[in-house]
Amino acid sequence: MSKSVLIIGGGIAGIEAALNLADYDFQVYLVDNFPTIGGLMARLDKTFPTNDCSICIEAPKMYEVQKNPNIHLLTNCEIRRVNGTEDVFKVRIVKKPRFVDEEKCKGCGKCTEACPVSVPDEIDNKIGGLRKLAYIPFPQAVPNYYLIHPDCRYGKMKDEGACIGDCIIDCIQCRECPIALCVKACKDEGGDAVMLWQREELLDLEVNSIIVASGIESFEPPRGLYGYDVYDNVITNLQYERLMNAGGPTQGEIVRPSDGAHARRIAWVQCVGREKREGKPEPIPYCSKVCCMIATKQTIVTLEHGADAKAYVLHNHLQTYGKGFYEFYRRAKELGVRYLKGKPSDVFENPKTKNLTIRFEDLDKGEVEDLEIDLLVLSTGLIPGNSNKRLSKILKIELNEHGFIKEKDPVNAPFETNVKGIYVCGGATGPIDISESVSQAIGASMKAAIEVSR
Amino acid sequence: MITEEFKDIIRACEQCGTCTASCPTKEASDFNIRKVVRHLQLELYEDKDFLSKYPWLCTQCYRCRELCTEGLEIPKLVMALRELALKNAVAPESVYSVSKAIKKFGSPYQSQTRTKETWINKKLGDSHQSSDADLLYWAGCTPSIMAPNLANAAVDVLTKLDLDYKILNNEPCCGEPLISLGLIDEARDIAVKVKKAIEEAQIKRLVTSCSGCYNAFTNLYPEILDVNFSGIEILHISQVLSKNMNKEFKLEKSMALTYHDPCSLGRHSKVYDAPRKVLKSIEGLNFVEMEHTREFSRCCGGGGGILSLDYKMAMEIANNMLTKEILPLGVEGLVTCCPSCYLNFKRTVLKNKIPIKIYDLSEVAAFCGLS
Repeated sequence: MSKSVLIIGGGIAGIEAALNLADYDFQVYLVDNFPTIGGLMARLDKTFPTNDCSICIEAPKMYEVQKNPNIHLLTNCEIRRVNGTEDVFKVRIVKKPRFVDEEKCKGCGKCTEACPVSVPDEIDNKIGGLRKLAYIPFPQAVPNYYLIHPDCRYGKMKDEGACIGDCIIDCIQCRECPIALCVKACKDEGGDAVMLWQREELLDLEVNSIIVASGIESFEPPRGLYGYDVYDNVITNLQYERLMNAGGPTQGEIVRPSDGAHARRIAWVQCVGREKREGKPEPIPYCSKVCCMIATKQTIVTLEHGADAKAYVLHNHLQTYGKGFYEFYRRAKELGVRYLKGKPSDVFENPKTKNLTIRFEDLDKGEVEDLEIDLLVLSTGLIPGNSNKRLSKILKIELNEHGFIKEKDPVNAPFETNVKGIYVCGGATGPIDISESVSQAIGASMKAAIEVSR
Repeated sequence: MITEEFKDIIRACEQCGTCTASCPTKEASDFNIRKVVRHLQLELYEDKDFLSKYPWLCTQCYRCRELCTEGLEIPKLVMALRELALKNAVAPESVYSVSKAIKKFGSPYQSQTRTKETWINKKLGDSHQSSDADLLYWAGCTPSIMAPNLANAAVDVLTKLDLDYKILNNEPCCGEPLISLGLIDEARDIAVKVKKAIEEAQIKRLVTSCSGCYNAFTNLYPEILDVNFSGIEILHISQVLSKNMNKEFKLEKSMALTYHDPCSLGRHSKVYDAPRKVLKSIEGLNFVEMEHTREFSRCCGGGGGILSLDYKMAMEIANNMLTKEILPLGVEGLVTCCPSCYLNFKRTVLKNKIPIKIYDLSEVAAFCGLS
């Protein structure tokens, strides 16, 4: 029997590791607690420093994962328990209900069309993104099954038009809901995939090695920091990335949340999350290193979208650490992006126009300046994923002082954890960019392969 | 003095300029607090031209500390520089005249015509004044001499709240101006005397109208002078009011008012909610918040001894704030809780004919009718 490897996390690192191991004829279980693989990269518009389309690079890899007979895709799943050491790990996995029968769903999207309820999207709500209760995370999702958040059950969303009939018996007794619009739409298409009462399932696996690729998260600024959550036109760099993205809620139009007008003057503030504020979350104590290049990429794309746009980057230390990064920064400057040294102290909003004025000391001049802009982008840092703590308990692996998964020795034993047979790669190890994630995934998968083949 | 602790602060500075952009003094002078720290990073401690000018332009508003990315105690660096300048005898002349006035008259104001007794005599025999009271009303130098209407309003409020109080017949200066000007040893001598006078009064609570005195008693005395009051609760008049606002205060004619957080009460002492609670519970008062409030509120320009050192600059800063921040709010008046802010705003409003009325919180409460 061929040996098997469990990969936790289906972002670009998990995908890359899975494809590598599958090539070597290992049985790979790729687990993601999201309903689709793709991770953070699938939400981005472009990659730096080449400005290639992010999903165009990732989607083919995602389809390869789906097609590969050696890869068993377990989306919408969570690791609950892991026992065993070194070469055999017994893993219990919880398959969270999707409320759609995966064997029957054809991915036609009729349930979404039929659903009358729109709710704010988890990622895009700040920039006006809405989704239905029956939805697919994004068009290129793998696996291409729909999922439902059945918040409409028990007649809770009657006012929103989710229920059409006054049933005689309670939902709790019926547990079928044949009158639901999504159920009907699915049946009309000849399917019967929608299951508004579905339970979680348990799966037990035995694997020979585990790779943790659980990813990284973007820092959410506390309310009031540079006017975030107080003024409409202050957004994070991830939200801006969704604005630029043709697959995002605005179809790539860079518009302001306040009035939907095109933003012409846009400023980026770097190192957001480093601020020490009383009563607010602890500041990020390290440099996330990618945000300077993210901002540079975003300014270049912005100027490509509209030549009359003005882009300002307020920074203190600029990180151009990788291959081609300094040239990338130079290109942005040549295109007319203004890099200003200094960090703003205050953000004012004009209550009528909703334009913002930022006050900062221009360190090149030593003078305080007021700059009026249409949109302010906070270049937030990267923080450990919220699953790291849970995973460290389940897998008995150590975290470092920042909450990332600790590598045994960054020089002599990279990608290894303190538990033999468990490896780590990608954003779970710390803030890194996409290409570094991919290299790490190749490294970690090869380490696992060598160890398992022994 | 520049201690190792301060050198750590100096080394930790990233020179991002947030402090300078947040500084009220920068608007009215060439003072650049980031450059001051840069100066110190280059270890130019003994530069006399530098010491005689820049440390004396800071209003000690602590806004830069709140906004500093690293959370550095920048205003304390300025205090250390003031001490250093005094040691090198390059401090401005007005520092010494404040010190002389406190020694001679018991207040930083060199006035012989207006004394603390002027307002106290007027209030003698008030129905709620009692020598047995366990509450001492501490007026403070500025309310009793420069703005007796504040002290009068405060005792009116105490009477309205049905609280018995006593007043010290020869209330000394608390020494806060000396601390903020860097004359720590002189301030310590005064603090010991003040402590003695207060303890002899045999009281349980001390209520003051002056947020400078409040800051001195609650923060500066224990932290800098190592003088502690035991068994005496120190309260600002806004805290007394907010605790006793169960009675219905009502304005006869409704008014739209905004509130200015005094630095010494707000950022120094973290009293943000008490004055707001009072203003919000007055019927007929339309309370409007400024854009930047609480720990991020702007400074009137009168703190850190600037009223004595350069009152014109203080007025320029106040003028900026009144015209740019407060006039657009469309309010009738500005309420504050600090006599220095009150005085600085009042002078500016009168001189520049700005159509905004300046009130102290106790004034607003005092002219309320009780329904």
